[in-house]
Amino acid sequence: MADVRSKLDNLYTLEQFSAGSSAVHRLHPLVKILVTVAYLICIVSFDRYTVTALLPYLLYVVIMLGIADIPYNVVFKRVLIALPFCLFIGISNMFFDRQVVFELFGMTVTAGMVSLISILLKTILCVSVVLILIAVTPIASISKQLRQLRVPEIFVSLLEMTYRYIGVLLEDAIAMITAYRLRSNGRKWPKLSEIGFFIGQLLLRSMDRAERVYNAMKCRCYSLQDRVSKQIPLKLSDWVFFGIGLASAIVFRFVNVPVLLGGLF
Amino acid sequence: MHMADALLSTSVGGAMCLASAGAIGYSVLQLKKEDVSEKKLPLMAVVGAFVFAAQMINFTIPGTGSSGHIGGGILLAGILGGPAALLTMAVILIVQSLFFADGGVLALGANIFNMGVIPCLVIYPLLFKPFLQKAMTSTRLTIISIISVVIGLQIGAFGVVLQTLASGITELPFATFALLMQPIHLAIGLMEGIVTASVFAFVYSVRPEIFANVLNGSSLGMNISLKKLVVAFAILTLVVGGGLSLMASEYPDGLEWSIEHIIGDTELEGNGTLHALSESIQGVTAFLPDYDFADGDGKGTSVAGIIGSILTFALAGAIGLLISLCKKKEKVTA
Amino acid sequence: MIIDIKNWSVIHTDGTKAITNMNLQIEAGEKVALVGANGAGKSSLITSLVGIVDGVGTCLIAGIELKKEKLDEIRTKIGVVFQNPDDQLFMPTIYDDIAFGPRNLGVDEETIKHRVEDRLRLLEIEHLKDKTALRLSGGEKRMAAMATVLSMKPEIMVLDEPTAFLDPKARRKLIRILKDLPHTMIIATHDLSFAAELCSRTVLLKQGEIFADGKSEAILQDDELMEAADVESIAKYLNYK
Repeated sequence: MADVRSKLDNLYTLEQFSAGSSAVHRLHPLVKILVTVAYLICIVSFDRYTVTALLPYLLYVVIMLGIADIPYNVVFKRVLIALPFCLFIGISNMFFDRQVVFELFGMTVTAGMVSLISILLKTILCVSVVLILIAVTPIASISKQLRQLRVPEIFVSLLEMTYRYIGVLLEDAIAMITAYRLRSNGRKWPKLSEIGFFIGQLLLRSMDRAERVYNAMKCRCYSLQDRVSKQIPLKLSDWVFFGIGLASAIVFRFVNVPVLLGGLF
Repeated sequence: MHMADALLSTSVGGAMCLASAGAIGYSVLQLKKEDVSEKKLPLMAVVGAFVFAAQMINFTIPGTGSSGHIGGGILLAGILGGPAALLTMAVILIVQSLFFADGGVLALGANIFNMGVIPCLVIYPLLFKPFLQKAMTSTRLTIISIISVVIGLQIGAFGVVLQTLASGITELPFATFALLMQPIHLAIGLMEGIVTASVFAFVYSVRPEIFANVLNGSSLGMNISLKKLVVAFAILTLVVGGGLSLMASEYPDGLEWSIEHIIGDTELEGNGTLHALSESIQGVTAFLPDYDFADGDGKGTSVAGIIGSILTFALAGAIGLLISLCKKKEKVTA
Repeated sequence: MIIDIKNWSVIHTDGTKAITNMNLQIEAGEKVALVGANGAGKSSLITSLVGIVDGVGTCLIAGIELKKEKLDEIRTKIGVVFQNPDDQLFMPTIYDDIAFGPRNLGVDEETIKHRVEDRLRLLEIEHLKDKTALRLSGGEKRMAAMATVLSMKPEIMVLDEPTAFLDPKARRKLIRILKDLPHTMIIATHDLSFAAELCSRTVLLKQGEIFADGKSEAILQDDELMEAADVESIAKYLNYK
């Protein structure tokens, strides 16, 4: 059943991480979100031939993962998911962009190869930066912050509740698949002729559940209204993190640190 | 179909984020007007989670041994209505990008547009709903589900092509890229369409009242016949596709007329100091400022770049090691 | 009398009669078990008390007549713990779930915080405060669901099949905690020994009507009565005979 459990396990893992209490866990969610977005924008804004200038961003990844105590294999697993389409684009660049850029130890390096490496590097960086945010910030803090930022209440509530029920529905789906496999004579997945009934059942069950959830909400006097909670004030450590995060993202963007470093020799 | 951050430029990503945010805002207002959002919220959330879970269920494609899974947009729209379906789809995509690295975060705008706005706010009200409002039978439901999913996916895939090319990340010529994407997504769309149709058919046979949403309420395309619409969509695709491929063939470097280029060539030219500044910044930042570094001082830069890169790697590695050592010590002492 | 139901009928939208002309009075502080076969009307009765399904007749709850415009008030008097806690825990953390009701009532955050912490302590689940419901055990989820209801300060608690999803140890804990709570309780259950242990009074339902009403020990041990209501008696169930 490993194949169907992986998504659920992924949720569990991230949730465990985000419940941690390291220095970065304790930072204000707002500064973490802002620094993450700043990093993403800076990384993405490099052109397709940038390689060296991207490397300093690895420092952020290494430092944050280290402090938050998140193993690297979690990052690798996620990069693998994002990779296929990026590889497709990157490899096709190798075929279409064959201009020789330079020779290294007798090997010709083409612009296409450089852009492939650039895309891979960007993928790793973007995926890691997002992972870091999620692994050190519980979803409840993020949604609270979204409310502060005046994102419409229905959208934030929807995000919270969808996240909550993904776990429940995944369990439901896994139970159905398990039951199916126990009687399917070795077939792993339903046939096309069975799929409408199979998925349709799950859909009807989830709609019944939605009805029950709504009742439970009504019983606690629910009405959809904007909720304003108190803003947690930013601490000095939050400002420091914000300052360093933002400054590093921008400095790395406009100063090619590796080239400067290399120039020293 | 989920686009990653690494494949989008900031300008394209930003523009798509604005477009999708607008569509989301419109949908929120629409739901408020309907005044049923309160009751709909749990339904949207649970059905959204359902789509997420159902995408995990694969099915065997006959004769091929490979498997596929359901899409989301049309399925959600059929049950929730267009605006609610868009919000739900947007939330699904947000969760996928944050928790599962399925699609990027800056790319969310593009992904929500391609997989949410197109099926929920374009295909559903223009095609799906009016067709069923004319007459609701299970055959018609099946037909329109397949057609809607296929067209939605075609337009969505075309969106991916355009957004990637406009970002200037790929060297793929437009025609090649489109010729790769569209047929693949035709096949995927047919499978997703058939699955969506069979799920709808089952639900319709057991609980037809669920489709009340589709049948009630006004619809934009009431008076337009389906035939005309399909033709219109086909023509639109041809015109856009044909026009773009003509343009692309004139500029063999792919879509070099991307926004950044236009700005770089026109606006900054007039402003001497700014242009010089941006050039000097580019000179410092870009490892490969342009194609022509082989004959300039590119070689020197690249050697320094390689040494510097190795140093940076070493530095990152050392810091990582240091932190983990400190952590271990902490654990031992604690 | 905290609950006073007269001539109460519940008819579902498809026309089936779930409850027919029922009369039921419950005193404050009473713990009443609602027993009956599946389809006897337990759930319909419970859900009609909080206006989830409509009923016809008169129903006074803590002196308030059950009407559409009084529903919010009534729902602060009666707290319903549903059968499946996953339906009741819909917020990102247990804390938010427990705070959900008071927040809707406009209680200020400081009071809510105290109240949530108090309920967590009462139900011995302080460690769940910042957790999500994703990975809790059946017993933990049940307790959390009860806390979400208790935070509304209800006078009456209605529990639908509370021992479902519980292992024996969690069931024991549930009995202990429910015994100590001062609330009036209506407990719909198939778990007869649970009913016998917790409730002094049992109402036996059959086909939407009250079949018997009285002391639990009398009703639950009356083989003939129980079998006539399509429920197996406790004695037979435990193989005493």
